[in-house]
This record gives sequence, C-alpha cells and structure tokens, in this order.
Amino acid sequence: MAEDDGYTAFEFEGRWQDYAPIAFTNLLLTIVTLGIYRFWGKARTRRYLWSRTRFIDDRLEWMGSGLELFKGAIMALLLVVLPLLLLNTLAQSLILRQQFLLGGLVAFIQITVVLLLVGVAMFRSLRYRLSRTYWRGIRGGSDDPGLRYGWSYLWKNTVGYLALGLLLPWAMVSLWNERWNGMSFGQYRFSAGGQVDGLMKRYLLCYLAPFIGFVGIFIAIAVMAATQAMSGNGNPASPGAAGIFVGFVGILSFYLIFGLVVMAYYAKFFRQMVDAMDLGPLSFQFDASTKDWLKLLLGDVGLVLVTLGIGLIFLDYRHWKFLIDHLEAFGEIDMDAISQSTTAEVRQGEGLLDAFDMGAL
Amino acid sequence: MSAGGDGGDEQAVPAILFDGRSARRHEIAIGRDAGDLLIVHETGAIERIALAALERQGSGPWGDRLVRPDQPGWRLDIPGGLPTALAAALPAPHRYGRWIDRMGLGRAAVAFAAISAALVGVVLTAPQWLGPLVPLPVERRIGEALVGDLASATCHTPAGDAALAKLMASVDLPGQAPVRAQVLKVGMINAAALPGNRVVLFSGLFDEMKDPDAVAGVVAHELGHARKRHVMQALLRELGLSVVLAGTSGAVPVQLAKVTGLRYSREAEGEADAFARDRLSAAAISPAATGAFFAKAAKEEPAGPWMVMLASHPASADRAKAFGGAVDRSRRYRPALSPAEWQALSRMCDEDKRVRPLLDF
Ligand SMILES: [Zn+2]
Repeated sequence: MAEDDGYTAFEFEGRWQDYAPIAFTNLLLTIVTLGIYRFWGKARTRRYLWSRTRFIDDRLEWMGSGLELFKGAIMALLLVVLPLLLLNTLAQSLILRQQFLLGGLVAFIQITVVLLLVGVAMFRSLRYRLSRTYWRGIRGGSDDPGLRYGWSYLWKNTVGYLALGLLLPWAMVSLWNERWNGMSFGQYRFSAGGQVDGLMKRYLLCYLAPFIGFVGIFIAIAVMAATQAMSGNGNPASPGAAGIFVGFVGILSFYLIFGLVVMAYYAKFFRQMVDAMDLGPLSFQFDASTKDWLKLLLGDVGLVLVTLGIGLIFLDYRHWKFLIDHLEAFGEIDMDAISQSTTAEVRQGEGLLDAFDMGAL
Repeated sequence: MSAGGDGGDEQAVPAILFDGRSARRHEIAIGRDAGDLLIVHETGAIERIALAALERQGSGPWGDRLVRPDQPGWRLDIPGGLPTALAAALPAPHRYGRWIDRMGLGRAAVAFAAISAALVGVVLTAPQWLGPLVPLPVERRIGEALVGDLASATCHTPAGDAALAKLMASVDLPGQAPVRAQVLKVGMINAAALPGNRVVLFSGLFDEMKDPDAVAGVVAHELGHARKRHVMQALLRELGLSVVLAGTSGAVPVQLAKVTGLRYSREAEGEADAFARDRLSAAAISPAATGAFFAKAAKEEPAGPWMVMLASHPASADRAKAFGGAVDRSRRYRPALSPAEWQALSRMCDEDKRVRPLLDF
C-alpha cells in the first residue's frame, strides 16, 4: 500500500511528553512494590506504544495484560528457574565431594537444558507478542509450542561455535527464518527467506577485529619502547604517563572499533532478514544503516548519563520508535479478505524469556 | 434520528466497528436502550449488546473505545467521544491496574511502600528468632546437601584428631549436642562454621598461626557461630531476601541485599567474638594470642570507615583491642595444647598422605 510520496505504511505517532507520565508512574509503582509492578508497567508501556503505531490506516492494539505476564514469570520461576538452581546446587556439591565426572555431567546437562530453554523462550515470546497484537481486530500467533525451535537453537548454535565461530552467521540467519516461518498473522503465514550471502564480509571483520587489535597494541607498545630507548633517560616521569595515556586510548579505541564492526554486522543482518520477509501479499523492508544504529546507541548512552540513570525508563520508547521509523511494508491488501487467526490463544506471557533476563528487542 | 427508532433514549452517534472476524471496517451508529448498547449496522440491521458485556478502554487519537472481553478483536471506536449517558453507564477504563485505580495512585503507592517495607523488615528480622527454631537434624541435612561431608579433603592422624578433640572440648559449652570439627587441606588462612553444627579449619591457618592459644580463639569464635545458630539465621535471611527481591530480577537491590547481609554478619561476628572470649576465659586459655593475631592482621588490612562498613568481620584493630583487653593479669592461664599436641594438630595435613586438597574457590 505504500507509495513513494512520503507516505509510509508504518508510522509511529507517539510523543515522549505523552509517554513520560506512564514511564514515571511505572517507575514509582515498580519501586514501591519491590519490582512486582513491572509486569503491569510493561503492559502499560506496550499499550501506549502499540496504540501510537499506525499501519496503513489503523493503529495497532496491545491486548496483553500485566497479570498474564506476572503469571508467566511465576510459572517460569517454579518450572524452570527453581529446577535449574537445584541442578546447579547438585553440580556444585558433587564437585565439592570430588565427584568431578558426575559433577561435570550434571553441569553439562544444565548448560544443555538452559540453551534449549532459551531457544524455546525466544520462540514463545515472539508468539506471545504476536498473539497479543491486534490490527483492525485481527491478531497473529502460532500453533507451534516452540520445543522444536529450542532444539534447533541448541544444535545450530553449538555447530556455529564448534566451527570456530565461523558458522554463527548461518546459525543466526537460519534461526531467524525458522522462528518467523512458524508465525502467522490473520490467515497469512509469515515467510522468512533470509540468506547468509552478503553477511560474511562484515562478520569476518568482527571475527578478525580482536586479532587486528592485538597486533595494533603490540605495534604501539613496540613503537613506544623504541622511542623511549632513543630518547634515552630524559624526564623519567613523562614517558610512563604518556605510556599509560596511549595504552588507555588504545584500549578505548579498540573497544569502540570492535563495537562498531559488530554493529555494522548486526545492522546488515537485521536489514537483510526483514527485507526477505513476506506476509501474504505484503513484503517488508528495514532501512536502518549502521549509522542509524550507532545514533540510537549513542543517544541511549547519552540520555542515561545526562539523566543520571532515569533515562533508562525511556529506552523501550526509543527502541520501539526506532524500529517503526525504519520499518516499511509494500503490497496491496484486501482488508475484507483478511480473516481472524485460528491459532491457539496464549494464556500466559513471556515469563520464560523474562526469567532469562532477555530484552524484547 | 433516534437509535433504531424504537424507544432509544438518545441521539445515534457515528462509530467504527471491527468485529474480530475479518479486518473489514464497519461504519456504524450507536445508541443506548436501557441496559443495552444498540448498534445500527450499514445494512440497517440493529444489534443489541448488554452494557455489562462491554469494557471501556483508554481514550486516544481514535476517540473513545469499547471492547468485549468475551470476543477478542471486537472493537468499537467512537471518534467523537462516548455520549455522556453511555459513558456514565460504563465503568471507567483501567489505567494503572484494578487495585491501584480503585485506591488512587497516591494512596496505592503509600500502601505498597508500607507493605514492602514491612516485608523487608520481617525478612531481615525473622531469621533471628526463626533460625534457632529449625531442628538441628534438618540443619544438618541442609548442610549435607550444600557442601557434603568433605571427607576426602579432611586431614586425619590419630594424634592430630585427639588434639583437635581436646581443643574443641576445652572451649565448647558443656552438655550440648556435639559440634563436629574438621581440618581441611586448603591453602587459605580461614575457618568457618557450616550448617549442622560443624566447624572447619583450613590447613593454611596453621602456616600463619604459631600459637595453639590463637587457634583456640578461632575455634571458639566459630563455635560461637554454631552455638548461637548464626548459620541457620544467615541461610534463612539469604533465602528470604532472594524470594522477596525476586521481583526486581537483579535490577536494583542486589547490591543493597549484599550490604545489609554484611551488616547483619557483623553483628553475628561480634556475638561470636564475645562467645569466644567467654569460653577462653572458662577454659583458662589466655586471649592474648588471639589478640596478637588480630593486631597483626590489622596492619595488613586497609583502614577507613568504608572498609569497616563493608567488611563482614569487625575491623581487626577493634578485635585485637577487645581480645587484648580481656587478658586478666592476675590470672594464671594454661596453654591450650601441650607442645606435642600442637605439633600433631598443626602438622596433621602434612602427615596425612591420603588426603586430597579441596578446590580453591
Ligand atoms: Zn565469624
């Protein structure tokens, strides 16, 4: 439906001034309830963000509640976190008893289960968010409980790392596709056909950055040592201070450059994945460049620093705005032909993902 | 036009309906008839919905909004706002959450803050009287589960065991359930009380301490922890705090929990020190060596009020003063162990060839 005359299918119409009362009351209530209100706060935040997001001619609706997020978190605590803690205690006490083999085995099982569950949690949280997102009265969802995705997450990441990390882009791409291909909106199923082609160059840059950094630091140290030797024993204090300064700048710039190449890779990954996605007659596009991501991140950091941490409560807002500002959709849809999703209704929120402390975006 | 023309009691108002079955937008008109909402469809057909089945949602750029909890996706937007009579007949939309809306934000925040403060207070104080109520066999089983019996790292020689038993008997309270003492092969200068009436001495202690009287002081201190049920108190406190603060999921108060935990420990440490001085006096063992040990430690530890706040043990200088001040010049003390016994105890871990060193954590 999008034409090229400045019209965009996705538009975020929110104002931070309107969101501020929500953010501040959420903060207050979260503090006085020792954190329990954050589930309701999250639901309020999403209700606002979704309701200020227009797609074609109607705004999105968030129909999830704080109570179901809370229930999901309690379930995850009882069924997942507690057993894992017990397993962890078991492994530690076995190692204390010098039962290294058995303790190692229990620890191995624990890592396997955690990886599997992280995968399941990622799938189920996407499914939950889609099933609670309405547009023109139609919602999304999935009928897949996500266990199969959990196994894929486990083995694809394992293979990715075992191949010296070189297959990680493949793992990321194929997991993205698998996750989205399991989702639907209305009667339409998402189709995600992202490719690894075009990602490897930037990934290799990330991959090699630490080595290049080490070589750079080594050269810097060598140069410094040489200049110090040549200048002989002049002022004994200044070469030391200069050395510390150069080392500090070196380490800082290494982290900056490494962060930048990782961001460049991720920006391209995200664009490439979204661009390869379809939903029925619609196709999607994401146009945030590395520079846009960098601006987002620097903005986040600046906001949090300047406000002495209070700015943290605006990060959800900023990230959602970023996502919608750069998201675009194309295609002709016949509204009357879109029918309600037949997928199972999800009754509890993304507790599992919450339990692993992973963000939504 | 009167809604439906059959006794509707107010003007029909234009509205937009999504029925949750398809994405089709219906331009309709609404009105009210007693306890029902009247919907005049595009076809002219009139639908009645009981007001009790409707829920009002927050207003926004779309105007006012009604939904039906029993029919997800069904959504009625009234761009010009709900007619006042209808608005009065429907409960106000939820804002912060059911309870908070009922009480009002300010009162709810104060009430939650009071409950939270009371809860944290209970969790911080309850272990002090709850701990001693836990039967020792239960505590012993918890200790077994947490650390095992540490048998393979425990040093044994017949003479060393006898010396340890003598030392324990001389400083312990008479007529109580036995406390089990073990010397562990660990190269750390430390001793600890474990759940279930257990005291462990690390073999590194004997490299540092050259006087059996000082070891007697350390043993008496750890015995104090066991006899005053500090171990169970600490376990309960940690458990309680982790449950109460689970809602924050590590967001803020983990550091807080740590600091309060340490402060509590300091009180217990003071109590254990007082117990140790009492028991040394009852056994006619001089506290001078223990004081000298702390005086030596005081020289090695960083000073300043911050360290005192954060350290789990009272400042060594204060402890040195307390133990040194407990020396009664008019009294005749006896050595805690004979030279032969001291030799057997302090060299036990070198002489036991079967013992395997415990992992350092
Ligand atoms: Zn102590």
